Amino acid sequence: MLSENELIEGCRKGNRAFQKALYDRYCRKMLVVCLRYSKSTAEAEDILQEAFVKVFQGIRDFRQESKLETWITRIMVNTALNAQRKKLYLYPMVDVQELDLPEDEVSISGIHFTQLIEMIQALPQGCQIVFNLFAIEGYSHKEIAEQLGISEGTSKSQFARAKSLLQQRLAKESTYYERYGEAKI
Amino acid sequence: MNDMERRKFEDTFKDAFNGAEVEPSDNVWTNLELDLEKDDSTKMKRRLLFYQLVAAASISFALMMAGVGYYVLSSRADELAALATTPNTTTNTSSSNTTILSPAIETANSNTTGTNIAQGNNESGSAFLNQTPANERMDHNDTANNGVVSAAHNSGTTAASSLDNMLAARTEHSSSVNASVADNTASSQTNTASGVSAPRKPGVTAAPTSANVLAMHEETSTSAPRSVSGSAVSGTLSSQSASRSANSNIAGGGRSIAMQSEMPSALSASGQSRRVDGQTSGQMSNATTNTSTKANSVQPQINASSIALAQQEPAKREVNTQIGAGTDKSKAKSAIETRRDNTTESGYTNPAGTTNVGTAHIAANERGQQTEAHQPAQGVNNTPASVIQRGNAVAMHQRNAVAPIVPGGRNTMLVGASGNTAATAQESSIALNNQRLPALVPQREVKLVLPKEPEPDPVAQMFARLARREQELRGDDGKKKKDKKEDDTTEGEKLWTSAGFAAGSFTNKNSGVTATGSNMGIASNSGVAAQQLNASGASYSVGVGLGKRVTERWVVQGGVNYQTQLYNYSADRAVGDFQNQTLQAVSINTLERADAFDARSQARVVSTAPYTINNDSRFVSVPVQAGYLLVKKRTGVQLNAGVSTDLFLQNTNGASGDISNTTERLGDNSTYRSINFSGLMGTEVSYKFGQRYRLALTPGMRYAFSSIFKSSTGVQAMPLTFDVGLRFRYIFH
Repeated sequence: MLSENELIEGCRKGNRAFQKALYDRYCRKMLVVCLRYSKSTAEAEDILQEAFVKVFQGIRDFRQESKLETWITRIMVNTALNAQRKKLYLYPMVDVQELDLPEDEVSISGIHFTQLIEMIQALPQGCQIVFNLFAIEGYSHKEIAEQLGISEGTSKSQFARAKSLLQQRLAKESTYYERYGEAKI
Repeated sequence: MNDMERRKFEDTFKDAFNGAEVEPSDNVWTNLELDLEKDDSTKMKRRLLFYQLVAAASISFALMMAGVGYYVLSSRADELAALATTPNTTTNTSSSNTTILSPAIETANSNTTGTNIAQGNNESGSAFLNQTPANERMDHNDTANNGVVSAAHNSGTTAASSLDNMLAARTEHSSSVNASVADNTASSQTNTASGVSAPRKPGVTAAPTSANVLAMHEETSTSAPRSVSGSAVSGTLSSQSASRSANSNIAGGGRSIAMQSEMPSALSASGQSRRVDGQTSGQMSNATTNTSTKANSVQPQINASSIALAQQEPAKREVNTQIGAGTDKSKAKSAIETRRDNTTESGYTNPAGTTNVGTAHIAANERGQQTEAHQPAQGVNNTPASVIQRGNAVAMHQRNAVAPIVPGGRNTMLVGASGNTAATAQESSIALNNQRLPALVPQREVKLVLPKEPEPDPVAQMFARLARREQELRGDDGKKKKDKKEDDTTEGEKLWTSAGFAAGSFTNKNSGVTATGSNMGIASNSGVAAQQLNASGASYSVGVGLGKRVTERWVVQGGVNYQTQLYNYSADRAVGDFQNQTLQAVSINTLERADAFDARSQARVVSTAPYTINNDSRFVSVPVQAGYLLVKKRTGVQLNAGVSTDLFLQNTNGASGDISNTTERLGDNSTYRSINFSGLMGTEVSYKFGQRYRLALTPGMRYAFSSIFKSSTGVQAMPLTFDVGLRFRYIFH
């Protein structure tokens, strides 16, 4: 198995085999990232394809200050955001009212990530992006606001709405499981 | 929800995606690979474009440099060629800077502002030759290693200003290269040529400053001295031909300083004698010539060149430098002449000279000022024949007088001074080396290289081919245009047929009746016949024709016409039979039968009341005409001329009343000729319709060559017909 440095050097030389190896190593994880920012698998694959082209183009400038996976993930997120910016331009994010959150803690333990992806994909466009950036990628609201060109309050409200929606969805799923006694996934 | 809970919720989500993987479809990599290929091709294109641009820039730069180089070389070649044809010395009066370079590279600078002539050599000393108030300064800078001799002449044109000039000669010594810079501090001018001469490469002519004129010449004749008139200074050292002497003369005629310098080492080694004569004459009568010559400084100069000369010239060499200025010819004899001859060891010969030759450093100052050009001998001759001479600076102030130089023998500096001139002479020994030294300055051949014939430009050839192809294509178009043109002109009319008619009038010319002996009936009734012959009438014709164009403008036409000539005349006679039972209209035919003296004839001419006779003659004419096209366009104008063969058909005389008609047909009894010939002449104005039709209006004239009547009748009638026809022409091709 090729090491990360070998992959990087091979890709820097433009070796197609090394590029294929790099793709095979990270394409599955990166597709999950793309799925979180997209509404469908096809859209996610388009983002994945475009992002990997950017990876191979920009790997010459990769200074290896971070892990390769982190660097590729950042490229995936940025590519996904660029793909979503058109939609955000059409449907700009605005402040939304915070929904009533369920008082009980909602646990997602035992829920398969595919269901979580579906839940995230079911979120509104703005909520989906802000939730991914804040909850999963770990950006602050300020960084999100700067990156998306929105206000920090809008980012917070979008996240709160996304969180509420997810909690409602998770609560519904929990009730369903409890009622019918089916095992959680 | 508190922060802990919030963080817990987010971390739960984040943890839920740790290690999550989804297999993408296979076409993702396929499409990705296609994108990468496309990107690579784009990069390759960009790279190729970059290389193309670089190549184009390189080629452009190379072409530009080649062009500039060619221009410089060609201009220099022209300049050298122009200067080669000029005398040995070139004087630039405008800048007063003259630079003369021989293959040994000599540089002479004339500075207008300065009137000093300083001659300095820097190998082991310097020699200054100052002459005031002419105040000419001549610097001879010689680089021994390079065999370069430069002479910087500052020849002043204004004596007054020269008085204010202060001569300063600086000699820069290097280890093996001597540089001498003659500065005229008063005029703040620096002769750069002298400074340039030091780093100058052997055999290479340094580019002078803009104020200098560079002349590079090669000498092949050695005996003829070089002279420069006026204030020009020529310093020449040649290293090529045998028995070569280079004379630098400044014409002035007054005083002259003859300086002869020899390289003992070189010359004695080769058994040659070399002489450097310098003649300087002041412009003013009271000019004082201070000549400061330092042997050690001159000697390397000569040494370098003489070594080169010695290698190449076994014969005697002579370098004469004459500087002449001023008008006082009386001073000519007071010129300083220093002459040394190694072979003869005649020493210096200077009748009234103040010039030190080669062994002394003579510094001159005028107006009593002492100019010290003391240059201790520092330079060491690199040649094996090193110069041991050392000269001390001599400050000599002279006015109007030149101290004679006492021949001091070899290596002896003689300083002649008058007035407060101080002269110091110090003998120095010169180590002679009998060895010949290799030429320091390789002979340089100046060749005029003509530019090669430029190869045909492939781009131009391509354009030429394109032009030919275009012309060919235009040829097709031209054919169409030609067809179009033919539509508009008669170009395309080669063969045609025509049909038409004509109408006109005719009259008989040269008509008359003569008695022949057999025409008694006509002759006896000539008056009656004359009425018919003098009648004029109308002519009509209709016919078809055929035409062919034989040349560009000539055509031949023919055809067949049916022609009718009608005329009326009055008569008061009739021809009756024997019993006068029937009367016939009188005509040539009936009169021909009414011969009263013929017993067999029963016809008699009788008088009747006047009546009108209608005469109708029918012919078939076959015209043949040649035509010339005056205008051969859509509207054509044509001149026709030809011959018509007229075949007689019949003649009918009709009368009214009791007088019956008579008809005469072709036969033996007919008074008309069966065949008659007529001349045709006319014009034809036509207009072309479409490609094959042309309508022509043909006014013309017909004139019979002979009488239409038989000669036996004795009747002359040559009808002249004028008609105008209208013909429709069909053009076959």
